[in-house]
Amino acid sequence: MDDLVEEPEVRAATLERLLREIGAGSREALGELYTLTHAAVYALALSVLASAQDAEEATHDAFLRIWDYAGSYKAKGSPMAWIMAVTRNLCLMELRRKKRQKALSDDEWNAIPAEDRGLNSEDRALLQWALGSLDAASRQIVLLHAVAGLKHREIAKLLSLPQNTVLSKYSRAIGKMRAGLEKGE
Amino acid sequence: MTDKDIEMKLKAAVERSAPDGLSRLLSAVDDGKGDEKMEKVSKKRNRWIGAVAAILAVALIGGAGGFYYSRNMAVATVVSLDVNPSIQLEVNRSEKVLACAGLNDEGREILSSMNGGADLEGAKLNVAVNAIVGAIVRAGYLDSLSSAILISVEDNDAARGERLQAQLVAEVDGVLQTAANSAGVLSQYLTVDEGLNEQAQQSNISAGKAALVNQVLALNSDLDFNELAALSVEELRDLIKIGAPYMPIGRDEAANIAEEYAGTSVLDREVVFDVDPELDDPVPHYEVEIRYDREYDYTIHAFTGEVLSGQADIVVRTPSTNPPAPDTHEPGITADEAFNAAAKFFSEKHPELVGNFLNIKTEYDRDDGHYDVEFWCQGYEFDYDVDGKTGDILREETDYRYTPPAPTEPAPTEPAPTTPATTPQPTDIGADAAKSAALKHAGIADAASVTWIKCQHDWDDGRHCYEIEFECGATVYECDVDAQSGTVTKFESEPCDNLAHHHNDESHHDEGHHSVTTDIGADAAKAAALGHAGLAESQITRLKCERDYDDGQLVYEIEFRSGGYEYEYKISAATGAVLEHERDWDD
Repeated sequence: MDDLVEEPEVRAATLERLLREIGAGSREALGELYTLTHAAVYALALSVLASAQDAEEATHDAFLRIWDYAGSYKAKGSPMAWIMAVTRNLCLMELRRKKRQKALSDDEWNAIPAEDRGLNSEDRALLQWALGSLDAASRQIVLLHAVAGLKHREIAKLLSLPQNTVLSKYSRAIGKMRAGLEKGE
Repeated sequence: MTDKDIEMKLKAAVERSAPDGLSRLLSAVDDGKGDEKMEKVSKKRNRWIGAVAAILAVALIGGAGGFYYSRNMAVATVVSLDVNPSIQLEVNRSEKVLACAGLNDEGREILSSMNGGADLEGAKLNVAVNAIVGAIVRAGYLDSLSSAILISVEDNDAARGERLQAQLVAEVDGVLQTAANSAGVLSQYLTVDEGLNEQAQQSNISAGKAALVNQVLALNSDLDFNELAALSVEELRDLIKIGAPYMPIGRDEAANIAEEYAGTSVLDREVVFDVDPELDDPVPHYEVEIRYDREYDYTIHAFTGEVLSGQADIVVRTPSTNPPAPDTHEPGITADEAFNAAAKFFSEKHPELVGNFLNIKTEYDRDDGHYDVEFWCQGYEFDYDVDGKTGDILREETDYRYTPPAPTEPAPTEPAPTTPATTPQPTDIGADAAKSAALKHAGIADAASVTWIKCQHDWDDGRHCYEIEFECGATVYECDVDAQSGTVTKFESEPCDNLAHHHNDESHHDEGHHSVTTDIGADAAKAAALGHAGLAESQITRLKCERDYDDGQLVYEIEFRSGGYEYEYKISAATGAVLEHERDWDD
């Protein structure tokens, strides 16, 4: 995961190289890309589908799509935004397929995977309570920024929202999470 | 705890909770689940990119290869999409498009930006349908709330046909939702019927629409197949609902009647903006909207052609406000040349957007002597005014959401701040045009009766706008007008009495002086808001209605959501008048 802490330009160049290699059929590059980005893909899937199990499936499918279509990715300096767009569209199609969008309520938010992956209590609090208390758009914005590392401008483009809306939703959501965390401490 | 701390904690928690599915992924790849790669032959095609999401476009490009499909060229299913444009797709057993064609002129026009449908060949059916419906929406065919699209699936395998029908309905629903469009989706499954196909071919409609026409004929055999075939799906659907008592006059005839009545038929420019059939209304009619010096609405009886409402002779009554423009601007270049000029300009200016775009409109504006060229590229809309004589680009308007790359700027870790620009952008319509737009929205034709309070260039939600305030009669109006498109994005009106002393002090409340003695009640207030929004109660969700005092006036504050938008209204409890209204994306 350390690679994700790299400068954004370095990270973008790395991801573009990997997408190029995947396009040429490199399994190794797919593995490397998966290691670098699967948490972000999973986070976005989780924020849209609101279910750990569905997000896990969507993550798998998203990387299969990436494997299929990496060759058609046009290098424009934002490979992460492309990966996120692939993931989000896949998740939205899944939602439509299941016609779950309307039935889904905040109570059904279930971010904790059935299998315990060594999450500590604070992780659980953040994932279950903090994100569960946000509306779907805020959830996506927070995860896209904090985990996928997208800029607010890129998020606005991806979600077709005005940039100011993204900024205000983000700051409200972070404020809400801070209040919850500090109250819990 | 700083924002960064929270971000880091969240990131760490998600990373720990994210499953490691790499070995499963790699074995799936090894098992050939990613075999779509085979389709990626390096054949260059005139690819289409529309407003569909990236993955759909990518899937389409990936599907453009040829050899993979040669093993299965047999048509298994015929899918048709009918609104007024009729488009037919032939599909093989793998749900890939073998052929796509427009069956009428409108259908061919929709497909013109997709190489007549050839660009969709080889694409997955759902991707192609997504693309076509997106183009139909952008062409404005599904703008009215009562409009409808018919999806017909013709297949001798009932299980497959019905499955495809359900899939396509979900796909089209998705496109309409994304476009915040509330049009209805009709669908039917048909077995292959040669007689029906022949009937359809003779009338240049799809077998699906022919089946719908036959449903009307079953209700009233006196009607004529060909005349019915010319109606839209919405009209046919409504006719079936009401038992098809007579043949409706049709949209064109309704528009002609309204124009004759309004006296605008003498003009040499198009003033009919919209014709909306309402055949299932207690009084079946067409609503015709004419835009002349302002908006005029006409109601024309659908079966008799009688004008039920509307203002007659608008040209005679207001000759000085907008006289017919002499046609002095015959174009010197063709529409294709204008489009090519815009496309060249676009490609040179925005190399970062590649060269794939979808042409939405190329229209000659006789009044101004230029072509209006619009197209979509990667989900953004670009508008150009092209000189009708020289082909020079007079104006470029880029989508407000589009941020061109700025290589010379240091990469910010946070988004570029949306600080107000000190000068208007080159595409700015200017204060006078913004004021005109505000007056038009308020329905005020006489600018001399207006006292201007404020007209200030500002920056709102990342867009340039004009904040305009003016007074007319006993009412103060506040508008925000988009500085590029001239669209009124916010509109409020309030009686002067309530604002006379504090129109700049929004926090002021005069709780002690409630002057209202009558109250129309919450239901009437809701009805007023819904009526203004043009929505039925069944089309909205999360309705909130609160009774409150606002500057001493009793009002109803109403909020609801519909079609991806959030609506907010302030309704006068005394009169039911809409005092303020705002529509925004439903966040």
